[in-house]
Amino acid sequence: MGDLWNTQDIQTREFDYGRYNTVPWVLLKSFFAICMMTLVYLLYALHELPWRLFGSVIGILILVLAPFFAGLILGFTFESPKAALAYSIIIGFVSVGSCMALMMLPGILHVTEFGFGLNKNVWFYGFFIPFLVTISFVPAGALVSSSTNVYE
Amino acid sequence: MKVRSLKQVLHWLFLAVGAISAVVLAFSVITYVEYARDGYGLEASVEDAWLNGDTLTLKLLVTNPGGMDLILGPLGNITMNSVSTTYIPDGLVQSDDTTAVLVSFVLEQADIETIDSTGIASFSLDLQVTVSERDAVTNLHLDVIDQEVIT
Repeated sequence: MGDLWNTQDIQTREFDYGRYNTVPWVLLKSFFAICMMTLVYLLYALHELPWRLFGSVIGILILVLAPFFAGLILGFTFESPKAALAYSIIIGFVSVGSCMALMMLPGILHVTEFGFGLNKNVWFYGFFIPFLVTISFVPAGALVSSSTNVYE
Repeated sequence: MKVRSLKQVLHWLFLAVGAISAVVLAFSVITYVEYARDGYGLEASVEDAWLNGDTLTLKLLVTNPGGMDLILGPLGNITMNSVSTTYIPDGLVQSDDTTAVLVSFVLEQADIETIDSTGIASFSLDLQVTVSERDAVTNLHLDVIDQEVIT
């Protein structure tokens, strides 16, 4: 049992953190994770775009699988599942925030006058749904991947 | 296959998808802002035009590629030699659909004489677009050159 434990311990330390988990790689991964999650949240929220995700089963699948995938890749970065969970959820919340900000952009830039309807949509489709997806699927992906870090 | 190579494949797949996402995100945001600035994605063309007395009636074919019902109007302007304003009573353009919308303008005498003598008209249209889901009103601009007018 002791030998088995030692093997596991060595395998955990030998995982190729050096290859994909240097600071530039992690920054790049985080940036792409934010882009990917912001994009799917935004495409679900913006019903006016012809390439929207809203209103189709495939759209919902993409909406939940993209954050899972982002969490999965972010989770490979950390040896500790706790750190993976915390970091990926923070990145998820940053994505929710950027989705809200981008959704309000035409109002902020005053390209046209919006009433209360935009705010209502931003809170429901820009915050509420992305928030639920983030707290459900990002940690799921992060925990799956960080728990596989013990294997070579 | 070792887990390590699976991780490697997943990383490279993620980088590819992430890079594409960044591009699509930028494009989508620019499109969204442009929609709000002008026309909300509506594409309009003049199918037919009639002049009856002093009233010019236009049959517009309006396409809405988005997933949100939009209302053309309630106000519209036509600019020829002078500017005429009208009220568009029912300009609902449903999502993913092309709708014919009739718009009538009472023209000034100079514009009527131009159309009567040549049979064609060049004008620009500025039609309000009401986005009820967003409580927003924006503008659809259309330049029409040498449109045949049935008199």
